Amino acid sequence: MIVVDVLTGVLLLAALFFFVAGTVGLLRFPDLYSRLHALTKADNVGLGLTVLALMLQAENWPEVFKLGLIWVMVLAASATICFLIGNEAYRRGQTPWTRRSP
Amino acid sequence: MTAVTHPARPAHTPAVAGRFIARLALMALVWLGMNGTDWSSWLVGGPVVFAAAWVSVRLLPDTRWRLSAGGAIAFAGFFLRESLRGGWDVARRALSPALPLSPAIVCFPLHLPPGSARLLFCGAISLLPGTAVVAITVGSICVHVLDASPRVEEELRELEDHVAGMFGLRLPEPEEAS
Repeated sequence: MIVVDVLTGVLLLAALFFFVAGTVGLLRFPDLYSRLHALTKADNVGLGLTVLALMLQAENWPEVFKLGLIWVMVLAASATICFLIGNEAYRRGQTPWTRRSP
Repeated sequence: MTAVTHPARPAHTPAVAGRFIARLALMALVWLGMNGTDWSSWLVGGPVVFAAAWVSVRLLPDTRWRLSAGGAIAFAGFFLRESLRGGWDVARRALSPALPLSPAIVCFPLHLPPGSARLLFCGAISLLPGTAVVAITVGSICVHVLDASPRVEEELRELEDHVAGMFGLRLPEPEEAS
């Protein structure tokens, strides 16, 4: 059981790293489009690792199944919302930030 | 996702009943997965499964495709690997002091037919390394990329092939371009 607990801890720490990185990206990235990347991709992995860690602690198969289902549904919602926000910005003619050549 | 036009659908055909039964079986399977052998849960589960199947047929009546099991497993593996890479890539950029970004919006022709396959493709793009869909038209998609490089198109083609494989579709051979 100790091995499983250690593995859970490692997965949760890794998840934490991705959530923190996603939030840092949200704060540091220069425009709406790149912030969308930070949120969708880093949180997707962060949540996936969290779900894996919790699956290891699950008491029965239905719990494992439910956790997996949660991840898939959040992914679907996250991809959809990412598109809706990005598409609206694009239709309003927001141009992406580009690095000016020095 | 918008801007995808569907041909007019026949309202009630025998196929609808078949589809309803298939969805019913799928929803029942999901309920079974969530509740295991707790049979009394079906008191709630029965009506819920029925309602979910009905809503699903109403909202997505037409699916002219079949899933290929092998393709789906291959896609799942590809998706997991790539989303891990995508998360790592964006984390690295966010945490790097130099903030290495050279974003751009680029448009590509779409090869997948409208419908579920295209929807999955567009959804997956937003979760994979460095790309997010910002616009979909009938024949093309526009993608915001974190790092404009010629490899982006290559990666999108690879994803498209995986999605096509999952739905048992055959894509037209890409024209020999530039």
